[in-house]
Amino acid sequence: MENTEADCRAVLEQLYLYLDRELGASSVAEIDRHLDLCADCLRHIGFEREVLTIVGRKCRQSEVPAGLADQIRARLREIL
Amino acid sequence: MKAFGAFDQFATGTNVKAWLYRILTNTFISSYRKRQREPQTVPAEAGEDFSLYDKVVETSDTPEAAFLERLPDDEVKEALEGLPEQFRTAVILADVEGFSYAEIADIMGVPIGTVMSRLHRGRKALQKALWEYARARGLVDGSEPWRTPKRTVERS
Repeated sequence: MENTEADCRAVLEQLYLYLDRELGASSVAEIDRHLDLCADCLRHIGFEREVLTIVGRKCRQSEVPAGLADQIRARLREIL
Repeated sequence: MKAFGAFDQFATGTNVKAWLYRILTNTFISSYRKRQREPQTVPAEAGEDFSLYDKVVETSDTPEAAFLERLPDDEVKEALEGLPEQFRTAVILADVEGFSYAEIADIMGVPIGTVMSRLHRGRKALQKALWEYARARGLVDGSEPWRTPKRTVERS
């Protein structure tokens, strides 16, 4: 991957997969190579990473959605 | 409950037990306080293509990092809690609890593709809510007081 507009689009399409560490090693290496050449994408990805970090940090005490808790409770009743 | 097919294996880890315990505790506290919210009626497409980054970059030359630092904790939390339940659950499991897509798929009982879609839409809707908050409070559009020296993005 070089540094064309199409490359930027491809990188941004995989942005969350990249940040969530859900990509294979070769895809990660490809994106890293692009980020070495493209300051715009590097800046964009840095911002998105920061947003995820801030949400994670500031929402530790959030309420658990009722539906999720019910699902887990039902499953616990089954396995315990 | 077929949805939890892979759950037995998933539930054997110590961390997961601690996590389940915490969730059940939180839930108990929440319902005790009668703070459970009504189901949200926000359209599923809301904010799907929204890019907070583009918005922040477009408005004057506000450094992106400063924008994020300016968002109060309560506001971020409220934005998250205002998301439709399925999106909120995906975002909490990924961004607050740090689960992988496969683990979230097990917990929510949906395919990984659905997890990715809910996560994407949930994050975008969250960004949109944060942007609207910032705009309503005059935190954008070149508001001078909180400008800080431009920083370069660090590689990690």
